[in-house]
Amino acid sequence: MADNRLNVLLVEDTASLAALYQASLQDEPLSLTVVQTGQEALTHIRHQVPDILLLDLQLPDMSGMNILQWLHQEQIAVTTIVITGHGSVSLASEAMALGAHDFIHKPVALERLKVTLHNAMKFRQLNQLVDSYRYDVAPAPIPSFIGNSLPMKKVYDLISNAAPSNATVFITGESGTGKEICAEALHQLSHSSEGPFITLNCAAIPKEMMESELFGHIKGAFSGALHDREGAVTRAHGGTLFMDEICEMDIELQSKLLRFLQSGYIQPVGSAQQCKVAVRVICATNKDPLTEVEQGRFREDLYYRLHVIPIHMPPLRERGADILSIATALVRQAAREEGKQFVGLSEATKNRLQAYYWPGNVRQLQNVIRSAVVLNQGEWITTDMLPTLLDTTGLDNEGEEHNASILPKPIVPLAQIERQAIERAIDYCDGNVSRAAVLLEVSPSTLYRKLQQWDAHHE
Amino acid sequence: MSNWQRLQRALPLIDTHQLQQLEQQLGQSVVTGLLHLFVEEGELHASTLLQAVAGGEYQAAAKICHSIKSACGSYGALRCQYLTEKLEVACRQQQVAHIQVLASAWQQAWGDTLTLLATTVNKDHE
Repeated sequence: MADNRLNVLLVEDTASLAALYQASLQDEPLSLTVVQTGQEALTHIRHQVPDILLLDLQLPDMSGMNILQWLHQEQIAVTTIVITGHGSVSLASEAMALGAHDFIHKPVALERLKVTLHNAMKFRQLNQLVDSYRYDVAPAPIPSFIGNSLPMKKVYDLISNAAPSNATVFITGESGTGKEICAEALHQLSHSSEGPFITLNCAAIPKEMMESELFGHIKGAFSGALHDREGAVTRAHGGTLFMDEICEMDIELQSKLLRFLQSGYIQPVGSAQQCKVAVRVICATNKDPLTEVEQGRFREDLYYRLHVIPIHMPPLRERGADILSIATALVRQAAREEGKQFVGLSEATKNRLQAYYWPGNVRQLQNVIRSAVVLNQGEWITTDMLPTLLDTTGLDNEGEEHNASILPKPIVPLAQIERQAIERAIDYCDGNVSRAAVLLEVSPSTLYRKLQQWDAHHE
Repeated sequence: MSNWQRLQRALPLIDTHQLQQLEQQLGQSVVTGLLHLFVEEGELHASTLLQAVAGGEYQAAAKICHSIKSACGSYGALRCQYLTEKLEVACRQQQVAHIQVLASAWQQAWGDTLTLLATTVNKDHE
């Protein structure tokens, strides 16, 4: 089970004082690490950022102020309580200016130490809560979607504009990007939203059954056809038919589908009669339909008949801060359903989720969050609750090939590539420079320096 | 006799009320262990401090005083806390003559404090 106690780092070089503080905090819900020098503190923080730092300002090898300055410069968010000698008011206020949360005078009264630490814990919890609401869903304009990233805003616009029309919509996108949700949204916002929404997965039905599933059959049409049966098209009359994985449809049946789309009439299997059906057709695929046409697996005329309004669902990795909004919403939903206390994601978890490539998109994210909620206890999803798979970026060979297919590109100066990479990362992180720095594996101060340079150059 | 000399003699070596409070908060056995550590570390500090003073390394002496002062304050060694504070200031200001007198007074108070603490700790053990 994950350890949900707060990590507190105490930097105190006087052993008898460190032991005294340690003894007084032994019943508190925290995991206390004690180091004696500034250098040890820096090494520890680099390895694992504590939740709370209890920092003596006078250390044998450096001033505690140096550590505060470093934290400030590197934008490392640690709730810091400085411990100062009696009367060092100016030092204390200098420390507060550098981001210290509170200060305690030496000799430290143990009750005061506890109260200050409790306040810091509450402050930290509130901060996390506020932060989690930052990624709360500013409600997306289309129901059942979460996130307001630029690529999704384009999708919302397309859905809003296409929904009232009866035109056929062709949705493309990787698995798990929400193609079916997009189709449902189109139906819900259409004039026939009161009518049925029928889904047919073209890959899930055996080839020989597909025509009957689509157009229905009459009794005796084939062995086992004991009764008349309506097909998906008829059942969708007055509403929407969503044909998922359309590129998997048998080429012979494609011509029958084309005939229906052109005429509006269907002929059930075994029947001599045709019937008129009023259906809005939406189809989807995770393949590139034009490649399928080129390879002769998909009829070109059907492609153009279906490809009236194309909507491309962006992969999760291109949706920037949406990842965190979706993950936060999923945590709360799963917590409600599983009767758990989880309210959001820890900072490190946010960084980990944003750094990952998400080949399985939202569906994969759903699985990761659900599993973390089910298998753990606590209020925040921490990195140790995530699968080890997420320790990498998730870029596999497929990703490399995908990148290779984009090449060759014109050669551009290195500085320009660097600037593009930095700007893309900041944009991806919704303007959060610290988070962008984590993804780029540089310090935030490096990014700030670059931004200042470009600003100065621009002026 | 100067003011500080009068005051330091008026101060108790150990603030027993503070030690009792520590015992209430942490338990007697924990406090006994902590006092052992305080004494052990204090002896090391005392020797380093007196060497630094004798060698005229006043900035180093001031740093050691700073550590001793806080520990004394936390464990109720009132007279030593007061004298260490005075000694720290004198060292920072390089008041050489004053440093020697204070160091001598501090050494005396430290010895007395250790003796008293040893009695207290042993009494607790009995």
